[in-house]
Formats: sequence, structure tokens, C-alpha cells
Amino acid sequence: MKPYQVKIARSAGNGAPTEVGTFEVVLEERMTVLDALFNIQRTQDDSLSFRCACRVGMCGTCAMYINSVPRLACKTQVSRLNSSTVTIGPLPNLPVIKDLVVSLEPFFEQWKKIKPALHSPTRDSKELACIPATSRYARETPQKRDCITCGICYGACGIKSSSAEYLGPAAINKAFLRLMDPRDTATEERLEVINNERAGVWRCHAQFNCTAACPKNIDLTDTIMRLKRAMLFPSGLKKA
Amino acid sequence: MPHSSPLPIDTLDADILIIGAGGAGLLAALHVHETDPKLKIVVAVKGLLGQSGCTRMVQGGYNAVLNPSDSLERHFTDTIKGGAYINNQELAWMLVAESPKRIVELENKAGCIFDRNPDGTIHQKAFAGQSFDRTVHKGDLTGIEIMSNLRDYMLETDIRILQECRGLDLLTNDGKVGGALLLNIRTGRLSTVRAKATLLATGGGATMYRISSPSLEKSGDGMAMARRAGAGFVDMEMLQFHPTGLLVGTSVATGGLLEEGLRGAGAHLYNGLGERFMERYDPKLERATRDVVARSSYLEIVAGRGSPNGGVYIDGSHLGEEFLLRNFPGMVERCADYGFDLVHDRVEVSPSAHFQMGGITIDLACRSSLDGLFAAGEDAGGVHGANRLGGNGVADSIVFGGVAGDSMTDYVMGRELPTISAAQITALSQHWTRPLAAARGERPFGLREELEDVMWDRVGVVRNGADLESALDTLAALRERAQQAATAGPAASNPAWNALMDVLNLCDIGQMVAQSALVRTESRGAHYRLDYASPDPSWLKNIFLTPNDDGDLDVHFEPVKFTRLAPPSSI
Repeated sequence: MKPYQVKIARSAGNGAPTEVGTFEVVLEERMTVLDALFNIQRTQDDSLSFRCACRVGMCGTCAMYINSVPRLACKTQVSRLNSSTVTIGPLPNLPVIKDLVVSLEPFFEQWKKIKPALHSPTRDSKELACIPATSRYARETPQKRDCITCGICYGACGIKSSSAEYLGPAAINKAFLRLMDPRDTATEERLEVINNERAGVWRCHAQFNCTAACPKNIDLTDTIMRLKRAMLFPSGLKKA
Repeated sequence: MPHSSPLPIDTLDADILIIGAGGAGLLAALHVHETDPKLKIVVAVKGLLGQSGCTRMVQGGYNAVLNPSDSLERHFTDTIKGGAYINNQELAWMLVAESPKRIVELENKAGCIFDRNPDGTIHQKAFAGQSFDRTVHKGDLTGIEIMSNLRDYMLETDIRILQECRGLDLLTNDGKVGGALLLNIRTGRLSTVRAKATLLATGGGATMYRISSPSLEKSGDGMAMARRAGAGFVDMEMLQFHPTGLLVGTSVATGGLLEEGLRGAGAHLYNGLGERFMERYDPKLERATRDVVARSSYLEIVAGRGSPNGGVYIDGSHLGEEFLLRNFPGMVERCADYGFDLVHDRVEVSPSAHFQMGGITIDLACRSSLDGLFAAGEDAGGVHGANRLGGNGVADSIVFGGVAGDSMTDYVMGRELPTISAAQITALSQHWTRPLAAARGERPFGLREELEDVMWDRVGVVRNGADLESALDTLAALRERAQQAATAGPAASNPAWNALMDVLNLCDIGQMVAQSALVRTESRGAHYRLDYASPDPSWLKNIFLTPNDDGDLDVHFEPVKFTRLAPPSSI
């Protein structure tokens, strides 16, 4: 089979990439970008640094910039890229530690601002909350709860690229989930954060980059739009 | 030339050090923090917080008795039967008795919400080997719900989290454990954490097999550290193969699982001839326990009745598109990622090394044989006996993580920080940094492949005495070579160096698995010997391994104590 050319942004020491490494990898059937990286690391350059844990789309640690789109390396089949060259860089909008490894710290700093933990007066209850399968929470949140905090939406967001303060789509999505959570009572605090004019939902211009890039197919733009409506028409967040 | 000056070493003191941050590690942290928020907790996680380890990868769910028509006795009996009667029955009882309470904690304290029935009660689904539908879940990606919420809980506490930080070895003094030497994988800095109590919760080493399901960063670090420190182990031969790991050619995705709920819901297995082969092996067909289904598949494959890529087929197409998309969207998506169509087609699967039932010997307070050292989750042995039921794994992590947290909270009360040995720290840091300065030597990746091959071929689904003996020789030689390997380069972000450390740890565990497997001259649960193909009632015993001063293992047996349920005479 013909070899693919794989171009990878490399850091000389630690820190942001300073050069592009070019490798040739023979495509095997069903090979993912992650497989190509392991192949290079094991047979050509064992200093190549990237993150990977579960390798089946659950841990969210192999997010990177592949042929100009942020994607999970483990869920990207090389053959589906329709290009004989694969160009890989670190996820945008985050500081690079080495090669394809970025620091998620800014992402989680934003995440923490929306108070991701449950704040509930029933936290010491011995009973499970009654949440009918027909309730809004049960019907409307399951897919939005599949977020794997890979940071892809953060890397894809046009606003995020120019605003250090913007919360970013994933953190707003988490805020939405807690706001919808029938047990949670920290509503006012979270609304204040997401209503902040420099950091909150109003920064979103609905370019849909996050939604298009999300590897879990979460409609993040929908989440943000719902929260904008809820700011104007507070009944929109009724937890029923 | 030996590396004469080890890396700079940071020092940190804590009441409690937790190594590993899957379900067990984070539940332990939660329990300590809930009981006494003033205690200083340090959690070291090999990857990113909440995104490392196997609890994250849980698909199907979590077994708990929540329905009035179910009972703890039934869950217990299923667990003991599933474990072929060599479980530690008191640990197994603790699992089933605590499991329902922990579901409440996961929801009310950590913030999870599992799937519900129309009336608002929790939904429970069918899993193999169970007499009642008792598996709690969130769709078919339950682990993401659990770990994301536990992570979010941690983020709003002052618990110190050391991310991308691996345990190298335990610090010991007079047989007492007083913390550990850690390596920050990204910065390359070593640190010693001195702690009054240390918990091992890193997960097991099923990744030492050619086809395996766990998260790739796992390498049984906890068990390996415990062995080197001299802790005792139980039933190390018991390693579970999950029946349905995906076959994706040479991709690292190979071995990734299709969840058990598919078989629970009625999916069929076919061999390469199109026969529904489970009819030959077990009246429960595809809903037999994992050990039976995995072994049956393996026997079909080695008999030449496998699929073209050396597996069998799972077929759920008769369940219908609407049903599969509603109940197994994650599995449909996973198949599609690699170009397979679970909705309309058969998909090739293989037994995949999955979970270690054996592990560090613990008591009901998660105490190991070493003072100051605790173990929970997959690191510990005895709960599941010879085979673990699907849905009991995450329950184990969550239950015993909590038990360890409570137990350590009690243990540290009124204790002083331990004394640690500067000489030991220097020796350990020289030992671990040696490969960075080694100019010549083997690279680790070939060693890892050889290790995976010997484990799969000779210590795998079907075993025999001659193979096990030769495997022990090969493993010893591999370990020797790994000790001489070279990974010259920086300490920061050095993938080869980390790969070598993984190989060394897996060699230490693999040897225990092989040695224990050689000792057990019968077939029971996940342990199947062609030369002793039946269960032998005289083997209703546990096999204990204790590391001695020479680095070898002393073996002794003890009859299982049937404190709650005696086996039928035929077992």
C-alpha cells in the first residue's frame, strides 16, 4: 500500500512547536490518526509526544488539530481524510507543553468558574431523587451529558481564539446541565457567570464551529442559544 | 556509565496519599474529604483527572440491589456462583451490601444521574450471569457520567491533584509504608510524598496481553509497587477475558469492548461457519458468564472455526435498528468509527484481556499485609473469586474506594508523619533514572510486544503446565533485558522511558499470574488448564503469593472459608 505523508508540529524542547517533522506511514486497513502516531513513535521517533488513554473515544485526551480541523485522533480514520498528506498540530487556543500535548489548564479554569459540582440541599439524603424518564432533564440532557472534556470545542471556537475571558462552549454546556438538574440550587450564581458580558453566553456569535467539531455530536450552539433565551425569558430554565 | 546524580526531587507531606484516580481512588478521596475536610489528601493520577483509567470506560453499568423484588442474598449468590466459589465471601458480601448506598452517594453527593423509569425510579438492565436485572447505567457510556461528576466534585475541593504523575515505588521503613516516590511525566521531576496512609488504586495489568481492553496507560503500577515492597497477593492466576473485544486489524482500537448488555439484550454469537456455537457449551447461551463465553469463543477460534481475522461474530441485527440506536448508541458509534455496522451486520470480536480478579490481599478495611498500605478496586484481590460478573467491576471500585477512604481516615487519626529513608530515595531515583543515561541498549517497544505475545500465547485463555513453565523462563529473561534497556533522553515527556517503566511493572505482575496459574492444577472460572480441564473440589482454595527477600515468591494455600454460602458438592 502507498505510504501517507504525516507532517507533525514538533517542539525542540518543551514548549510551543518550532518545526515540522515529516514521516511516512504505510496505511493499514482501518488505521486511525492515533495508530499512525503510535506507528511513528514506535518505529521512527520515540520522542514524539501525544496524549492517549482509552483509545476508543471515551477519555477525550487525544484531541488535536488534524488537517485544519480539531478532532480526536482515535476516532479519525486516515482513509476518510481524503488526502495523502496528514498534517497534525496541537489543539488551538491552548498552551503547548510539547509536540501535540497541550495544557488543559485554561479550559478547566473556565470550567471551574461555572461551579461544575452539584450544589444541592439533598446531598445527605439516603433516597435517590425522583426524576421521571418523561421529565425535561431526562429527555433533554442525556446527549449533552456525554461531554468528554476533550477541549475540541474550545479549540474550534472563533471567539475563544481572541478572548481569554470567554468561558467556551463546554463550560457553558456544563452550566446548562447543572441549571437543568432538578436537585441543584446554585442557579443564581451560575446565571451571573454565564450572563457576564465579557465571559458569558453573549460572546457567542453562533458560528456553530463547536457543534460541527464536537466528537460526541453535542449541539453546543443549541445549549448556548437556550441559555440566551433563558436570560430573556426565565421560564425557559424550568426544571420540571 | 551509571547515572550518578538523580533528578531533583520535590518533597510533599500529606495525611493520605492516593495513587490512581479512577473510581476507587476518587471515591476514597471523596470519603476522606466528607468525613474530615481538614485532612490533607494528595491524589496522583497517571493521566488527566477524570480522564484516566477504566472506570471512565465503563459501558454497561453498576450492579446494585435497589428493587424490592431483588435481594442482597441474590446478588451475593450470583457473585459467588460467578466467582466459582473461591471469592472471599466477606469481601463479596461487603460489595453487595454497600453497593446500593454508594449509588445514592454517586447521585446525591457527586452529582451523577443514572437512567430512570417513567415513574422516576432508577432503571436497571439485564447483564449476564445475574438472576435479576440490577445493572444501573447511563445509556451505554456509564463511566463518563461517573468520572466526569467525580472530577467536578474534586475541582471544588482543596484536594491536591497531581496530574500526569505516576507512582514509581513505595517508600518503606521497617516494613511500614510511608508514602511513595512519584514521577511527573510532563515535567520529568521526581517527588516524594510522605504520607501516614497510602492507597494503591491504579488498576490492573490486563494490558500485558496482545488483545486487551483497558485504557492504554494502565500497567498495573499499584500491584507492581506492592510486590516490590513485599505485600501479599491472592489468586493472581485469575484474570478475566471479556468475550467481545473488537477486532480492528493492527489498530490500537483492537480489544476495545462491545458491552455485555448487548448479549444481555439478546445479541447472538456465531463462529466462522455461521453456527451459533454457544449451543455447544452452555444452556444459557450468550448470557453465560464471561469466562464461559470467552473460553468457548477461544476454543472455536483455535479449532479453526473462527472468522477470517481470528475471532467470532457478534450479531445484534435481529434486535432492530430502533432498539439498538436507543439502547446502544455508543456501541453503534464505536463500530461505525472503525467502519463496522452493528445495526445491520455481524461484527468480528475476540476474547480480550480485561480485568484481574487476583490482586493485593486485603482485609475488610482494605488494609494490605503492610502497615500503612491500603488497596482498593482492581489492585486488590479476593472479591470476585475466579470470575467477575459484568457490572460488579465498577461497583467494586466505588464500594471499596469508599471503604478505603473511611478506613484510612480512621487509621491516620493521631498518627505522626512516618520517617522515610533518604538512602532508599536516592537508591530508587538512581534505579529509575538509569535508562535516561544509558547510551546503548534495547528499546522498550519490542520488549512490550514480546511480553504481550508470551502472555497471550502461553498464559492466556487456555493454559497448560508446559507453556506456563516456559512462559516463566521467558518472562524472567524479558525482565532481565528490560533492566538493561536504554531510553536516553530528557526526563520530561519521554514516551520511551515511560513505556519501559510500564514493561518492568507488567513483567512483575505477569510473572505472578503465570506462577499462580502453574500452581492451580485444575480449571476454575477464568483459569482454564487443558492438562487439568475440570474443576477439582480439593482446589476450593485460595493461592497466596508473598514476595521474599530474594525477590522470589513464596506460595501457600488456604481453604476458602464458606462463611455465608457453601458450594454444592459438584463444584
